[in-house]
Amino acid sequence: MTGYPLAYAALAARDPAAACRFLGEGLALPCTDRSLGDRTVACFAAGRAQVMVFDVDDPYLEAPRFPGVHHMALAHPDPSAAAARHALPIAAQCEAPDGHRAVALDPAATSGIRTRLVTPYEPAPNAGPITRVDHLGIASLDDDACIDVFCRNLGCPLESRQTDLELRHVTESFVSDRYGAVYHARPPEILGGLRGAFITIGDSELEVMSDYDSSLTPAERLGEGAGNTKGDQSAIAKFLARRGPGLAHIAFATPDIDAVLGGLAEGGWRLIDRQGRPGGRGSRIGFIHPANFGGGLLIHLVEPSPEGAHPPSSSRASG
Amino acid sequence: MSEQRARLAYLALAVSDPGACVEVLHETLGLPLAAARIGRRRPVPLVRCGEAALALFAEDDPFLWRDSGAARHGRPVRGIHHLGLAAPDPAAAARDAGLPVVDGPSAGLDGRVQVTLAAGDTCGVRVRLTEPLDSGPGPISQPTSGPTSGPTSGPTPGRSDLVERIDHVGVASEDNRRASSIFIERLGCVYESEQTDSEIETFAENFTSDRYGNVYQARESAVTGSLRVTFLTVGDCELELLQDLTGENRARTGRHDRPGDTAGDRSAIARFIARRGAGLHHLALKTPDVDAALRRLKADGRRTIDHQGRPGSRRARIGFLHPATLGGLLVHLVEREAL
Repeated sequence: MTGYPLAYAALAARDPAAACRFLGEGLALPCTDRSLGDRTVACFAAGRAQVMVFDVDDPYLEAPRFPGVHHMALAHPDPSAAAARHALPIAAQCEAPDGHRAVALDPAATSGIRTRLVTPYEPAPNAGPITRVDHLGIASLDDDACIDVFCRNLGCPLESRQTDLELRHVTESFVSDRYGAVYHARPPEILGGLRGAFITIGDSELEVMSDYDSSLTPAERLGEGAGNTKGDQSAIAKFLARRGPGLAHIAFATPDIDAVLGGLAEGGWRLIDRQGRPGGRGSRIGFIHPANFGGGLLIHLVEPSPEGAHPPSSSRASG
Repeated sequence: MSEQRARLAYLALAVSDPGACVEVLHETLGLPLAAARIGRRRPVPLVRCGEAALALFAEDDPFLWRDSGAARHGRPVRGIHHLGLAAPDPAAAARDAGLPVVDGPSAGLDGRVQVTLAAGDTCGVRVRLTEPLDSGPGPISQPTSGPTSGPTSGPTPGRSDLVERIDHVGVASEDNRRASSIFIERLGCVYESEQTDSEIETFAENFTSDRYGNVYQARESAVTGSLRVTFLTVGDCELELLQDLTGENRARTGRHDRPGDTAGDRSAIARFIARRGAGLHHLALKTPDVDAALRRLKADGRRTIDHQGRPGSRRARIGFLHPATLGGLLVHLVEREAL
């Protein structure tokens, strides 16, 4: 293993009970309650990592607090020593759930991505439809700065880079009973796009996304209609405008996205995509509506390409 | 009337500044100038264009608004006011066509007898039937500048190197079938052709990865604009009936600062009908070289919407002038080969 694996992603929800119901019942992730001070934290196992659900006002989460993916924790047996080795300034020492030692790194040193280092947790067995955390989405103003921190400094592999574009093609047709048919296609127009870089953290990746061209003003809003690249770009642009660069969403991997989305729809969950649509890395993706969790927390599913970096057999936690 | 083929004697144009329009049509585009009189003395500038004449009136000219049109719409508006269709005996022609006369017989251009038909009976198109104007060819005055047609043998109809004749007169129509039947069966027009113009928009996504290759995915297509266009021959030009088929009233904001397209054209028809009702909409002049004509206009400082020809109906290339260039008239040029 090179770099540092994802130990957990901390989700901040306005409606933590709904988020727990979604992860536990909707996605069938096994839950362990871990103690933190005078309370317990619901920790859902997903592959080798965990997803911890907090109320958005939980004191474990440092300000500014807003619903979404609050921080990620990378595993290392000696968090303070690891931070020192990479010359990353420590913002705070803290105690993670179940008494694990952790340090919070200064987000200014990690491209705005709130990152903690924590002593490793034992992975829990997971036999449901979700195999692992596919990636954590990051809204970025500077992909290269993220790559500098996580790849060059921390040694995480750069899995792949890609560019997603949305195009509009217009064809005019003139069909006459006397003059025949004439077709004219106008040059395609780029409506919007995203640049992405994927950085491996254990059995998951960071998906670092930046606007392809910020002059292509996002016009469409994230809504109930099926998503598209232009909408995704718009979501990233809005996130950056409101919160600045940082963790923006979490995605779970499944071998059969349509089955999972179908089950969620039957369970009454609001979906942005009712079936998988093409996503990054040859995958199919489908978004869950943030309103399910009181807003702000963006979750999507991924059916990874069979040629992906994490074949299902190797990423499922065993034990 | 229906026994006889329709001929366009003149097209009455209501503009903000007839003199300025004459400059564009005569000096820039090289069409020959003539004049007609209303009553005993009042001259009206005519520009000869193919077999027909373009008669230029100030938008509030009482000659235009003495019928019920002005009362209905509250105030005179710029645009193509009416078709003057030639008939040796206008009153008899109207009677034969079964179309009631709302004004006349009275003295029209150059004292020719004319009658005015009710626009409601002709799908919103204002029509007057008039005794033929003096159709004797030959310019009354030569263009003072602009392209000259070189040595010619004998007189020709109104044409120049840049404009051969009227190609068509565009009509914003609510029902092409009904309008066709009236203009063909009652007014002697001849069916020329019909076509459907559509603009189809397709969204596609392109994912290009250094590891996972390239995925190109086209999503659903949508018709963003559709027009049914019916051409009816009248003399040496056509009426172009334009009916919006898009089936919605969502009109895009009109723009005159960029080249047009079918979606914009259908939206323009929808907006015109919403504002004014069906009726005469635009004028198209046939040119042998649309790019040269646009260049010539621009060289003379005349504003155009299109800077070069773009695809139009009937395998044509078309280019719009800015409405400000001809006193509020919407005019475009048409270049097309004969079939």
